Amino acid sequence: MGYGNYSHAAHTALIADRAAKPGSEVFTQTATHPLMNPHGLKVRESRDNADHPNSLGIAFALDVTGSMGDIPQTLARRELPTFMKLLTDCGVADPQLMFMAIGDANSDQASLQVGQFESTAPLMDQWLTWSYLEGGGGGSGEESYELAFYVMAQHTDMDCWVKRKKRGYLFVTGDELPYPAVSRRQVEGLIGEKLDEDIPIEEVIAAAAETCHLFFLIPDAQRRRRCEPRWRELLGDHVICMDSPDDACAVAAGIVALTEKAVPDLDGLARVMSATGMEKQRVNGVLHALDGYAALLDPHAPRRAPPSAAGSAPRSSWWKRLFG
Amino acid sequence: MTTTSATTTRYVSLLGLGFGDCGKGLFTDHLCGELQAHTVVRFNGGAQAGHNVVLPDGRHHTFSQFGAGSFHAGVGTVLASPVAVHPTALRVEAEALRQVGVGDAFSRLLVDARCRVTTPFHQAAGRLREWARGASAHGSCGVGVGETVRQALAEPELALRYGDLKSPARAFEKLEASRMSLRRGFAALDAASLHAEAAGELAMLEDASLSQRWLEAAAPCLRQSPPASADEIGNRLSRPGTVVFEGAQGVLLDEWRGFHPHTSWSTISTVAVEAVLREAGIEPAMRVQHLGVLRSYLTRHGAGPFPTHDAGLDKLLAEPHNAEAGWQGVFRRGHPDAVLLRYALAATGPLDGLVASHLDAVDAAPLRWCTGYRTAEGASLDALPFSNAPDLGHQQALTRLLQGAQPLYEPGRIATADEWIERVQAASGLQVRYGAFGPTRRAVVRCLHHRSRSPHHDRPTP
Repeated sequence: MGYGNYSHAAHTALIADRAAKPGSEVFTQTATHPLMNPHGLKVRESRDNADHPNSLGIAFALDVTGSMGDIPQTLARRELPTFMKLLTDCGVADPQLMFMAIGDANSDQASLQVGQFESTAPLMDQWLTWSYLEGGGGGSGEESYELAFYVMAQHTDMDCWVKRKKRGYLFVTGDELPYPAVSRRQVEGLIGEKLDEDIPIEEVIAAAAETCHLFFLIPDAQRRRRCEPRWRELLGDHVICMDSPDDACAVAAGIVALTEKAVPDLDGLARVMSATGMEKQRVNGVLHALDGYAALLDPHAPRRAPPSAAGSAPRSSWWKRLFG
Repeated sequence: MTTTSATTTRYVSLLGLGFGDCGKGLFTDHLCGELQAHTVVRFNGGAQAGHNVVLPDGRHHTFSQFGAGSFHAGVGTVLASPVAVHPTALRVEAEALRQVGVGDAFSRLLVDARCRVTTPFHQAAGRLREWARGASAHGSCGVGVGETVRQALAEPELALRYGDLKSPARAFEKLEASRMSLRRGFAALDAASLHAEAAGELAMLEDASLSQRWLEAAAPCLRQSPPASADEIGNRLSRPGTVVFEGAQGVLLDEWRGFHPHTSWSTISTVAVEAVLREAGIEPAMRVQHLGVLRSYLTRHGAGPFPTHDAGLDKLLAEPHNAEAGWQGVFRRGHPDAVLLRYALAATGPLDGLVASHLDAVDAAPLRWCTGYRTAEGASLDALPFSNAPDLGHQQALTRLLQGAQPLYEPGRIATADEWIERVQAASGLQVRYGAFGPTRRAVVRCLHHRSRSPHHDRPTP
């Protein structure tokens, strides 16, 4: 007696396993994580607590189909801390982050995955990396983004709204069109609740907008043409076209900071970003993406000069290598 | 050798009468051959068991969860419900067995779906708890078996059962709930002050990705040995032939009869064996032959009282398979102790006989026969008070008593193995059925009580 070598070896292997994993295997799910499976979903809560008395619910609905999987990768490897640091540095008090993953409910196994609101980086990271990057998607030019609005409208409960009538945020990343309506059949299959009828996309967006600021982030200039007009019809100036998918976090943080008036304007945001050591070119890219939205908040602010053609090209070569 | 009836099942149990390391592996291996057993049942403990079997051809395996009869072709293992199963360690052990020529261990394994499961979180929590005890450490093996049992008792709804693993979603929820609960228990812990490695263990409890990775690592174990229903276990145990119950630990470490708190969360008794049979729908009355297992001298790993401990025996008595490195701590040797033997017999329940290992040590070292103690108060004592009802307060008092006890020895060393056997038989009222004079099954001799116990003519040449 007094042994245990096999169990030690078993556990050591488990720990070593993670350390030995290359960065490309940050996302290891091979199916929907049980805790992100929306079946039976009741309500995802963003609540005030002793450490976070002014909670602000922020949801990311990440398109995880083939063309968009790099945004979650970038978030997980590098950008999630940037997002949190930017919000903190701008003075946004108590953000609580929830990740959802969006695929194509007509062709994917894991077309909707829903995490929980969290206020600490490790737990945010946990839900993010629990997302299954199925990489599917249909050939129809549509993905099931409407489900993200449906979850937000129907299955979240945020103290920022309930207690303070302050809306939370939903950032949807994507490069395709939404389906025209939330399908009652899909909702029943995925979430397990019955709807009387399909809900038109306009209606579900209106419902979500009651408690949330809604944004659709398009990863880069090349992706705009296909989907931007339709999203403009649905979300107007809340469609944000980025220079690079790498900017998704900084752009989202900038939107929150500006909307919450944590920074007075784009110049204030630029100062904060520069102070974090962000490259000038990257700061400019973020400001460029936010220009239209900032003008909407403060119509009297001077518009920034349009960036050069070079500035609007995708900066990261890996993006081109993979999808160019 | 007699052949067993084709229509009945014979049950033999091997119950350690010391602190462990008494030779259960050797005798399980031997009896599986001698009695043509088809199944070895593990009925207590978990992955901390280390039962060494050395084959005459030199192959060696330290059996942890697979039955120590596995070197015999076709002998299966049943992990019965009180066992805390460690699925990922089973995989590692199966691989170790494969390397010594046993390639089909998993296909011979039945794991009761009701078995509690040991996870990395239990191991981490168990180690943190042991470190937190500081100087009053219990002598944990650092495997997490105790923590598995502790949590299953304290929070039964979180207890992961082997059958739960069939449903990964359900298993995952339990795993995470269990991790969270254990983590909360150590929220106020200052890891840095505890132990150099405590931060690493704490990190396991913090690791939100570990549950999923552990489930993935455990999945092949499930595929190769799916959870067995009570009926399957019952059928296996009623198969005609012989079933050997291989006890883990020794009764002096029993959770209720050992010397609290230096015990194992595991029951070592005839009652535990018979409970498994009853659970399988088999009425055990009169059918189980219970054998107590002794080493010719006492040994103990790690902390806990040990009145006859004698460091002078260390260099005389080799211990090839019990390393002192790692969690189990220092390996101590001591003289045979009639007081503890009588206590062990009372705790184990009625036995049909004894088996004894390391009888060659009688020649190798000057073993003395301890008949009693002088207590710290100066009184003489030749038996320990036995509490009929489980009472940890009583067991703790025994611990204190033993810690202050000075052993009283018969004059002179025990001269021969025969003399050792005579003394043990006199003290126990039981026959020594088999004796081992070396590490392999070839060194086991049958001790026939009706003739002069002089096994030397049977003794194998080295």
